[in-house]
Amino acid sequence: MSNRSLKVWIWLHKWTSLVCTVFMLMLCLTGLPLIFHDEIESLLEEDQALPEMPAGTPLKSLDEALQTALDTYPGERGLFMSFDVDRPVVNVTTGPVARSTLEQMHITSIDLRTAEIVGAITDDGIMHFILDLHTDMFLGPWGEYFLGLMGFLMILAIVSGVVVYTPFMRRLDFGTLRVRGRRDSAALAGDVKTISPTGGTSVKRVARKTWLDLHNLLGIVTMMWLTVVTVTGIIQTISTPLVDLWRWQQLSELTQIYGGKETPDTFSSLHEVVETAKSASPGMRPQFVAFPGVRFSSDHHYAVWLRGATPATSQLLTPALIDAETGELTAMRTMPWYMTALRLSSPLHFGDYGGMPMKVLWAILDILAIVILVSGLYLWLGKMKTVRPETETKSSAHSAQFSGSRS
Amino acid sequence: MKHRRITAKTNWQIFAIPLLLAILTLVGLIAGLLDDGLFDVLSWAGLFFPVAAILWAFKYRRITSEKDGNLG
Repeated sequence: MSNRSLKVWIWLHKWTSLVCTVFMLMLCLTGLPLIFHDEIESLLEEDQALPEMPAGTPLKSLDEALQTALDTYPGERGLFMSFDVDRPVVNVTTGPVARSTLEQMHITSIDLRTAEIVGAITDDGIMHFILDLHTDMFLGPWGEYFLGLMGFLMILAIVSGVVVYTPFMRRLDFGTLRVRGRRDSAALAGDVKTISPTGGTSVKRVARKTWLDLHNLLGIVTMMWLTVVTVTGIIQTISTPLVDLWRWQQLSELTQIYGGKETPDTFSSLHEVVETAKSASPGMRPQFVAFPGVRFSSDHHYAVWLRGATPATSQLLTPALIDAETGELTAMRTMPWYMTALRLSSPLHFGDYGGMPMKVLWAILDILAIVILVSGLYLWLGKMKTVRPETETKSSAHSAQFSGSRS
Repeated sequence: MKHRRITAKTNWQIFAIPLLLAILTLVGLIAGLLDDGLFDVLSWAGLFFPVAAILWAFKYRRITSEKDGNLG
């Protein structure tokens, strides 16, 4: 590589990292508790234990559960119903109109054995605060797109970092960490004249090398994990437009069949709708039902969103569209490629698909990323201090640093 | 300056271990998605390799200043 192109890569690595570092630090710090959100939430949550009931108590129908929620919030209509995985509880979302805002919606958890309320799900807890900060910094979609852009810079920083890593390692073995010895002062005093033309003390120089080696080692070792988490994070930031695109595509297909029928006044039985969907898709479980007219269905259909049993297929939802008037299955839709990418990017971003050991490893890698960011910042600040006086020394410092790096 | 004469490494030598770690990480990330049980164990192993590489470097690749005069 020529010194000239190397300089361009160094410039790219410096500026792409500098711009995104603060945001990446924020994301790493808020991401850390989010890895364990399940555990933390169950610790913080008020006791929502279900009352003891004899085993085999028959379950009430989904329609009764829905009615309980509707009675609780008069004047609202059903929007979504989701199913808890580990207990006989459904969560009903209600709101005044089909396209209610999040603030207008109410979520009620209902015990299917009694059709009575277990508790309301509110989103004002500390974990929601952290998640909002992590997702969009409370700035809505534009905050998300901005963080997506920062993620893009991070990708550039990773790629340029790998390129810049190469000349550093020409004469070093993988993993080399140059650290201060115990007999420093004496040994290092001799080095001052030879390696410290810019005037820094050599102890500082060694400290700098240690940080540099650490930055290089952690960066190169975690590059794949960092890349995957960054790319999947970027994909998450455009989830809203992707879902809209999908809905629009699906909707245009359906309106061709249904000629733009209005939302019916009365809906067919929810219980039957779910049973129809289940029997049409053996081996899958319903995750949630979207009522007619809401974001995840069509105006004329219930959409029962079914999921598979493995970590991957449980992310790949298949909506069964069921005519809201007749209760008959209209179609099963598989997701287009971009929705598959969106859905699979979620576990790959949060690391919550491989049990506790994976979460712990995810947290360790997250902390390593923090060390990379901080050491990078430290190295840049250190360089600022030593080379600020004349800009000329900057280029000579660079060429000195990369001497012998031509290939 | 006393330079220990090390011949410049080729790109291949520089990136052999990082590439291996990257592949192991990727295998781990994908294995976890495929199924639970044994696949989870595979995913832990895959993600443990990069962490292990760092621990290994801290233990065996530390060069102190007096051990190696070559700091330049």
